[in-house]
Amino acid sequence: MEKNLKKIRTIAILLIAILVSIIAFCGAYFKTSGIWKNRIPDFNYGMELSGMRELRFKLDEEEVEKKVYIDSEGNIAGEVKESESENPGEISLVQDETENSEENNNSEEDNVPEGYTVETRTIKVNEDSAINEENFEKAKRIIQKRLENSTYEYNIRLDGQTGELVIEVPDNEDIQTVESFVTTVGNIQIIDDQNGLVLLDDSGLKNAVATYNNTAEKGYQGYLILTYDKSSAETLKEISNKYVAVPNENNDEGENASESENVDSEESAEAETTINYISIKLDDQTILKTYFGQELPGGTLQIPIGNATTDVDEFSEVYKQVTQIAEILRNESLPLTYKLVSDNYVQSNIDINNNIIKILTAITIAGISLYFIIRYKLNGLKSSIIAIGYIGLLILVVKYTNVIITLNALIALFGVIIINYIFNDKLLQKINGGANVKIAFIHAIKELYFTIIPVCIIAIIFTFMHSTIISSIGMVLFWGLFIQALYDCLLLIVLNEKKD
Amino acid sequence: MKIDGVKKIILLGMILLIVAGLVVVALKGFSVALFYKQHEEININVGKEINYKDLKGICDEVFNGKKYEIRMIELFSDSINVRVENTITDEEKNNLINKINEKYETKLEASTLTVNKNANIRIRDLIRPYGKPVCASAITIICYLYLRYRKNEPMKFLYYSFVNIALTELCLASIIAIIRVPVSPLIVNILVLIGVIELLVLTNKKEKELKKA
Repeated sequence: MEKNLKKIRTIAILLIAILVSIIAFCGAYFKTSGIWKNRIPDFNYGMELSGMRELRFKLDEEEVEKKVYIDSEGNIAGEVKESESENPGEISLVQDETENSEENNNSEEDNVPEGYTVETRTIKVNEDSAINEENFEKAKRIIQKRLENSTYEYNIRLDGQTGELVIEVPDNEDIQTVESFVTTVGNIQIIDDQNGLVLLDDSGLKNAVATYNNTAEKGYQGYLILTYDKSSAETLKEISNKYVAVPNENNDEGENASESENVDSEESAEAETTINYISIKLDDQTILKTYFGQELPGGTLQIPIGNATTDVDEFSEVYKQVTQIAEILRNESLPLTYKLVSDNYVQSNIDINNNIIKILTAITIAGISLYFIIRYKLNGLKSSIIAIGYIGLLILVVKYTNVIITLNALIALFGVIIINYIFNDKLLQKINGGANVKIAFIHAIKELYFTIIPVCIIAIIFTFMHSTIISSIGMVLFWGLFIQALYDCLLLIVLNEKKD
Repeated sequence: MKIDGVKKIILLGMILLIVAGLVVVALKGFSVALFYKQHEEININVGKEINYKDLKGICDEVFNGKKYEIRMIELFSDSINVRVENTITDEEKNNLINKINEKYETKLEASTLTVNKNANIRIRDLIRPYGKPVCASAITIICYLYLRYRKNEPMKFLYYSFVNIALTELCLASIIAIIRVPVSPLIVNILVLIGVIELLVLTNKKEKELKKA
């Protein structure tokens, strides 16, 4: 009776292994709306196997004539802000917190902040002096850092003569993010919104972090937190004291608004107070126009990005942007400005679904199985079925856990399959030599695991790496070794049928 | 450690191979796969479904003897990306377009197509991601092996393993340099895999020694 039960158990395990193999190799088809569809997901291939996006960037050659402030040392200290009044050429500057709008009619010279002169200059996006090999290399290095911290698989090509960059990334990546990593210089400035004078640049920026807040009334709000060094913190403190809402003399009801509130919600306060706004700009793009409600003594500035929302999808998009900005600001700013000139999807020249590859794989597995059957007879057949089941289960796990299959990962996959066959061979050799199955199993497993501990170390370390080409090796090794432990137990049950 | 006659000959052969490899690398360097070295590329939108074999025949004629690579662009198999070793001359560009026009009855003009230069992907950029994980793994593995064989001359085993793996890797690298196998990340990974397999074989041998002792 017990012997029969063991036989049934063995047959059941072998049938399950065969079923898993069939599902893994052929798929599981179900009829949906009259169409047979495979429910098993495809492999998630890396760019060598699935094709890539080739993004070509050139140096921006644009030049614009602008009115700028020049400080006593001859440096540009900001762009003169054009008046928003009906006269487009008119320049409006706010010199005093209580300044009346009538003073907008003053001459240009009168409106220039003390210590600065106004000049009209032709400003090139990339100054001639900045276009050199040293800056090309620096820009490449910064872009690499930005990409690597975001776990991208990429190739980068730099033309040392022209500075042209070609970046190749997988097609499934967010191309806009990659593009922004290259085209965003990363200059964040706090600007006097009244006149355009730069109050604080990013030279003292120590860190940038993305965070969010969730309240029951407003929902999710993303924040960019900037931390400045000691000297910049002092400047920030001064700015936070100066750029505030000041109650008009004939209106005693004005109150300080809370820090960093959006302009839209402050329309009523604006009527009752004179507000000195600042603009926070990232590469000439205003990300926030605001004023301060309290002094900022610690050198930390919290900038709300986007509007608060209860829609999780909308928020995740906003938060992705905040994280992206923080990533850009954490690294140095680019010494050069690039623009995207072409974006092509280039297919891989390796056809992984090629029938020849499939046939060769099938022949190899069949050949190894045949060797096992000839050499170890029934035990060989059982272990071959279990080994094919192992490959099948490994394929399914890799597909469902979304492991990215790169060429490196394929080598790792090949490696763990070989380890499994070697173990089976060693075990069957011992059993053929007349050893008790359980004892032979314990000996073989001890020998195997003491030998492959270096591979286990590699699997664990590689799995936690940022780079896709490295982590994919680690994940395949990890799953391969983990499933092997499970399959070794099944092998013991199947082989232990007679001799117990 | 005593080295017998056969082993001496093998060792001498390996050293000669490594020296020959070093000479080739010093004189000519490694042969790098076209995709990874500096090349020029041209993107052509034919507008009709392209047969890869036909195109290969055309490129064989046009780029007589030069290394080239054809890839499809986008998803409709009507545009191609041709990458050619070094440069694509005007004559080659004109010939390519004329032959495509003949084959597919199109009216493409060579003057409207741009040849782009693609700089090489530096070997150090390819190796860069491996630095941290390989070092961390190597240190951890060395510590493990030292502790595991602490009673069985661990330093000797580590030294023996290092020399063996280094010799194998250098020999393989020399063969790659001498027979001009194009180096790509795949080749680098195969070398790493062979190193790991050799380490496993040596560890297994040591485990057996340990068992016997």
